[in-house]
Amino acid sequence: MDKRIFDGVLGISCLENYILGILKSREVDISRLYCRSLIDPQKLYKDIFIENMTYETYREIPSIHSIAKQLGLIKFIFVETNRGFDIILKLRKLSQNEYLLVRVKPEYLKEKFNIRLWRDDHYILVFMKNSEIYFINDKPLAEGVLTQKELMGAYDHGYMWIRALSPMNKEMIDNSMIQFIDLFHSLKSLNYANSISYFETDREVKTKHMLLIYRVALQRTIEFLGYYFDMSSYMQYILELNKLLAKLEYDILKKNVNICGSTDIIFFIINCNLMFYENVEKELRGV
Amino acid sequence: MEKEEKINGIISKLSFAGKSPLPDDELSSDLGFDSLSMVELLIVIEESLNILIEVSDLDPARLTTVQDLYDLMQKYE
Repeated sequence: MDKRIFDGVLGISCLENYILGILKSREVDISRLYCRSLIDPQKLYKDIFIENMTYETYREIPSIHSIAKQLGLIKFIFVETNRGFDIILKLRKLSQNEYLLVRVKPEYLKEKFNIRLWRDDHYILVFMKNSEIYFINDKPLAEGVLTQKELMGAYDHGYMWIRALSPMNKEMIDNSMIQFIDLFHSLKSLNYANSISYFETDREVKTKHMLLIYRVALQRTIEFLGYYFDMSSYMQYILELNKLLAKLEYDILKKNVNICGSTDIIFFIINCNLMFYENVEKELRGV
Repeated sequence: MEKEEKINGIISKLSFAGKSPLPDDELSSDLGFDSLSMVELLIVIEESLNILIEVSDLDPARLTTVQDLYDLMQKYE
């Protein structure tokens, strides 16, 4: 197992990236785990602009680990403990289908990778390789050997233990589609009727959070449906969202006030979603 | 060449990789830049080269390797 396990994974948090990476390395079709990722942009607007949720705290999309557990692919436990040495003992006893994610101190990441984190709770995947402690980090992509002392120094009082269970079977695949169809119909009937305000504080930053969440939600849904339909033409939406995100971040960092730009992005997302829904509905009629 | 050296210096400073970048290095998988830190990288380059990047050039799909960055900056003399 190496850092290539993260190629193409679409986690919102590091935990999601690790679960997806682990399952991918076990040849699970991880796109099935994106069955509940679709989100209504008007609800998203309300969550971000009115409820003040952010990308890093967003919980309205069910987590990948909860879906993987529900489908019967994994079981896991979170352990909070100050006894760092427990993880060394645990590491030495891991079987082929067990994995350990160790929470690490943000300053460790800053020192080692020179990165700012979105959130304070960050995990690394650790395992034994040729009798040494090996780690893989999702963002930035990194891997290497850690000494026991380094691991103890980085450890931040918690870890997640994961056991991979059975491989994905037809029942799980069918179950994921049933969940998607339920979600799709429930979102279609929503009517939030939010009015788009032009005067919120931090408008650009909130738009960025909205864009980041919507982008991953849409991309996951495209991948999920790609199992059944040809979704290649929808990637143009993702490319456009990427461009909008880059322009928006540029304005934020340069402190350019661009109210119209933010509003255009919100309307783009809403319109893009309307088209997406219409097309998916047509496709689903054939299922 | 001077421009490329400046770009390399900035990448080395902002990337976690801790090495001098190579033209074929991927900004994402080899050097650890994501869609947001890539923009930060462009702004630092912009300031260092005393240029103003056009909005149409802020396209992540066209900036995947270090060479893509060199090529883009050739546009700005």
